[in-house]
Amino acid sequence: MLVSGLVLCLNDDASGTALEAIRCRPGLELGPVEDPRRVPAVLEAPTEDASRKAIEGLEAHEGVHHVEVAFIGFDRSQESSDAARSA
Amino acid sequence: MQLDRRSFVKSAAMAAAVSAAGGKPGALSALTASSPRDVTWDKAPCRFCGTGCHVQVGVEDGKVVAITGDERADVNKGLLCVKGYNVGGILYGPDRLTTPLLRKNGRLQPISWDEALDVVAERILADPEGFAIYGSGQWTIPEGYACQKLIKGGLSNNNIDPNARLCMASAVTGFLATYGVDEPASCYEDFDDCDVLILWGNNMAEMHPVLFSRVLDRKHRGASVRIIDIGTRRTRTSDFADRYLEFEPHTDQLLLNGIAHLLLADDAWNKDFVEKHCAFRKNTEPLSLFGEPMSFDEYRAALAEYTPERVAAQSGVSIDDLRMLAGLFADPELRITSTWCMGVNQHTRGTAVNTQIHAVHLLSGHFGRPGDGPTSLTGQPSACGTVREVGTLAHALPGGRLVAKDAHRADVEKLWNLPAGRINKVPGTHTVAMWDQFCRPKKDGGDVSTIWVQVTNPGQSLPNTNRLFFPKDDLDEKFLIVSDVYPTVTTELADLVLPSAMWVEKNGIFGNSERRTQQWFKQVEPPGDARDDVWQVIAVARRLYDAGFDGMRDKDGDFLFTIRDGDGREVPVWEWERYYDVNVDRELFEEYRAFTRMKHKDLAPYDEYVAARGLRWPVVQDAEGSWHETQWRFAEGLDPYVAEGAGFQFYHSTSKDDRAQIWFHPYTPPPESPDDEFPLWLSTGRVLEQWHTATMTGRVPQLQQAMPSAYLEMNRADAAERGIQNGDRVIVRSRRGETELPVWIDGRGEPPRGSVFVPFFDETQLINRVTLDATCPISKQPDYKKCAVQVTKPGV
Ligand code: SF4
Repeated sequence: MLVSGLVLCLNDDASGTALEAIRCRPGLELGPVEDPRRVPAVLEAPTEDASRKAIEGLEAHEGVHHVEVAFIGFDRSQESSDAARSA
Repeated sequence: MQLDRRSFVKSAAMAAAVSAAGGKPGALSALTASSPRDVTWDKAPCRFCGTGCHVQVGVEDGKVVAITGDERADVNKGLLCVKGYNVGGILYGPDRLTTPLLRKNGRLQPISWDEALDVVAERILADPEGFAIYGSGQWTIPEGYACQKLIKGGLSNNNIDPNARLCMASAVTGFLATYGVDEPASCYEDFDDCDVLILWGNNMAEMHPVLFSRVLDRKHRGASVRIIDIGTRRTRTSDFADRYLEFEPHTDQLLLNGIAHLLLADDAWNKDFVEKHCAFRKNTEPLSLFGEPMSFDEYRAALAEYTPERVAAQSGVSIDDLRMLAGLFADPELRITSTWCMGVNQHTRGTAVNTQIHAVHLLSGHFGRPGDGPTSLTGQPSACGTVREVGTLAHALPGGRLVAKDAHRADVEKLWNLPAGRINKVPGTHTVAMWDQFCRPKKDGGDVSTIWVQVTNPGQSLPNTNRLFFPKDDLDEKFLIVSDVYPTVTTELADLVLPSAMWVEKNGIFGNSERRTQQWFKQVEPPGDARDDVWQVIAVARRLYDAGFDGMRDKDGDFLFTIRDGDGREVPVWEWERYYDVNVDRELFEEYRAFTRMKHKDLAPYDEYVAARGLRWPVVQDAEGSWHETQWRFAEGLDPYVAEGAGFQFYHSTSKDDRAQIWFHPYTPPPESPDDEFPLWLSTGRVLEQWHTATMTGRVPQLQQAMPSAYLEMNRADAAERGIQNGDRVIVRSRRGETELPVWIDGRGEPPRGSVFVPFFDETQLINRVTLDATCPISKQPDYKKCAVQVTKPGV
């Protein structure tokens, strides 16, 4: 399981609606919203690939300007190093 | 409070996110205090780029288990880029080098450290003049300093140069020629304060993403900051820019002369600033770093031919856009930050273009206020701290001293307690010359017989590697030693491989792009028999000392690297078991610190850096004993060395009158341009996910999967003309070599018609077999951004 700490940077005009839609995404937990344009969130995904795709999906979401990644817990992911090198 | 592991990781992630979102600074500290008992946290700078973000490293059971951005670090305020948050993974690739290897009967075979050190010492003893060290901007400050002392103070041959010659040498010569002293006068706060950010050939969104996000964040919060991206291909940066201006490769020189021309023609230059603080300078023949003075009238006359019409016709940038750029510089109310990196530096006129960027800022008076000035960025974490400040270049000494100057050598000999005359006055071989000599038989002028490579991968990163690296006949007498952490293109050809400790497996100090010196402590053990690079250098030096090599003794007969404990007893740090009896980094840093005051680059005592998230030099002590960093240099009230009432003072002025130099350089055509046989420009560079030659990032699954292999970006029309489809494999070929790659059309970057782009990170597709090794005549930095190639389908 890969855990990422994210900041979702939302466009001004869409922050409310974007937030509602994003809230339902699997594996995503939103943090306290103090500035509606910069929303902290935690994303859990089963693999690195799934995590990357989920972040790309968030970035492509309407109303999302970009996503900043502030943390990643990677400790159980090294088993796949070999596979990655030979990919 | 103790948390279970999963809750802990989730809480850490949320705390970091909350902190980075700006909601609750301090959340992370609270969390780290409540992490499971066996997770400890400590700071370190990121191992990768020159931005110098700080991370917090979580260690459990002797292994790095979590990374988070350090919210207390001014550089990144808790944020990291995709590489930074995966930086812990670089330690745990499955193929770490863990034992010394010696080539016997054509194969690398494990040997002991004792045997390995003997081999290195024997090579030096057999030919001390022919021994060279090729290092890097990834050396820590103590590593670079130890090598510098070994080569210049011990072997007296000056054959030391770094890979930073390939990435920022032209920035160094640009600063020296303009201000008389290297490194930016400004700092990263400029990105928070500027009204206009001009990127000169700089894909900041991918290469310095955390700094770019500082500007994006301001835009996102409604600040009126304009980003102008001036480049030869559209990149991710262009997507976020307010304006993208595309110019013909190599015509940046014309653009800059065109802006200066308009400032004069429109009488929009800052007369007061120029009259008080600047002088004019031009080339000599042959070209030289400091040139010769010219008058203002001569300067104006020299620029006369760079009319908007001529510049637009040759550069492809319209007259309106050129006027728009000049108009920005003409507006004294705006705060303009110019930034650049490899696009300007890797240029056969790299020194000239650097000085021309400084020139338009000085001429217009856009200098010395927060957000208003020229600042270059670096690609490696300590290109500034180690290479530029310690001076690990063939011509330099610590403290901005030069080997060619008698008084400078005497200064260094005094501080190193060496007999007079120990340091050689002849500069050693710069990077391209070093590898050229190594790849030639001695009988043909190949005087470099042994190179010890540390912390870099020249087999992949040198230009024109077919000439400068890959095997040739008659080179049996040559010997290649490589200290590294993973197998690379370079270790494949090495005669001796030494396994190194990396990043938080050892103590270290880096210096980032904004003059910030950053310290960290060892946090985990290196694997197997991997050992610190500083130890390797000292252990070799001791072998030489024991063998009676005179250069390893100072003038009192003491070992060059004598380190004593608190009671004054010598500690045998050349024995690995005793190496960590003292903090060798602290000892070497304190010795080195004496040099830093020679050119107003004062560093604070080591322990000040232990407490801080880096400090920007000059760091000076006040009457109460507190140490203070400097954000902006040369401006009164901001730089402690500027005299009261001076306004600005360029106190290392080459004209000896406290003035900065406004340079004129004529446009000079590139050494190679597309023609009928090789009709396309090739530019090379980097990508967000992989760092340099990917020896580290390629071992991190998240990064490797995100960007597994190199590609050739091609314009759709050029591809169609050749019957090439997206994904087709093609041969890219120059006069020097070729490699095969898949084509990416409308990909991450979009080259215009007539040019292609290839990233250089992929060791299976070596684009540097193709690139050109022509260099800037002053900085000796090669041009990786422009050469002529053809692209064909295989078999055509
Ligand atoms: S921007 Fe550079 S220093 Fe910062 S996290 Fe990314 S690679 Fe590391």
